[in-house]
Amino acid sequence: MQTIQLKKFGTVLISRPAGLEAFNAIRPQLNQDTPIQIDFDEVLTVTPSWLDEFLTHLTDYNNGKVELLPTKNASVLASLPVLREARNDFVSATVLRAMERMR
Amino acid sequence: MVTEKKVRIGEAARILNVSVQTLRNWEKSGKLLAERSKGKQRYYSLQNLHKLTLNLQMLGLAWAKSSLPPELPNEYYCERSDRFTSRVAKMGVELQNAGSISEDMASLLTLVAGEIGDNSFAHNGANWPDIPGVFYAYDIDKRLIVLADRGRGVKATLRQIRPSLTTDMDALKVAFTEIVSGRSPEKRGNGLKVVRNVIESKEIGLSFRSGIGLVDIPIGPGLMQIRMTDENIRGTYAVILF
Repeated sequence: MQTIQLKKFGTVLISRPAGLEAFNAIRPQLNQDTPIQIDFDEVLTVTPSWLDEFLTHLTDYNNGKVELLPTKNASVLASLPVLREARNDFVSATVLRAMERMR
Repeated sequence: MVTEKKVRIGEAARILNVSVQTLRNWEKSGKLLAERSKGKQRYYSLQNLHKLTLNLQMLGLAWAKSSLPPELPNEYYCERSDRFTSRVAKMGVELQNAGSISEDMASLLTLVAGEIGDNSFAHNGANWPDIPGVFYAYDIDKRLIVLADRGRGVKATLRQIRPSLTTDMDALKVAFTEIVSGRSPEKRGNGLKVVRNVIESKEIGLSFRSGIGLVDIPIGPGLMQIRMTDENIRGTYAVILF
């Protein structure tokens, strides 16, 4: 298991270009065959745009083996339902699993 | 050294229309700091006083609707998205440190402001009609955030993927309520849906205008209403209250 701590990208994560930039920055450190978990600890805000972009590239990169660690971050909890509804792909599946775990 | 751009406490109180005691209290709380002369008298920077008298909502509105844009204080103008992002992050920290605002509220207000301002950059790209960037100002004491842009507006940008949209009100309804899944050729966000969900369920109010359309969500839990106004906004204009 590989863990990505989002705080290394900042405490406020906004915009699609920044989400893509974050993915490109972390990609060289990732093994495509190993599941990835995402840790929101110490992040104040993630916008849905940033999260959508980051997760889209990340799940494409390792065929959906991405899990979101349980979090109480209000911005994440607000973004997940719309991300799940908007998509029908790896991102949606990742988000749905996370929402079920946090019920 | 006292320069001509500074005034004593009595004059500062008159300019701000508050009492001298209020200014002393503001100094203690850090809201408005004074400098001291050698004789220990307080002196206030006129520039700082004028900032306090600025009406952020009127300034943002003027930015969004005037044919000739007003001059903006540098701190309220973000020409590029990276500057906007760093200023939103700064606001997030200030909200966290404000004391009267919960961590959840700080997180969500930062999301709302970040998503609305980022939309201005994402949807106008290199196609700003005249001046790029956003007006972005906030006053945590007044519990107010104002964003405005002189972009193409919601209808024009959404018509690229929904050519049948004819009114600003219909465009705002799509932007704030419908999942827009088309990701090609332009990536489409669903951020405003999240913004609406957050604001409708929390103690946050929103007035969002584009063209002659208005999205109104009352402060305190309440549902969105979309109306027509009699005044045209060039791009978008948003006031967030909390």
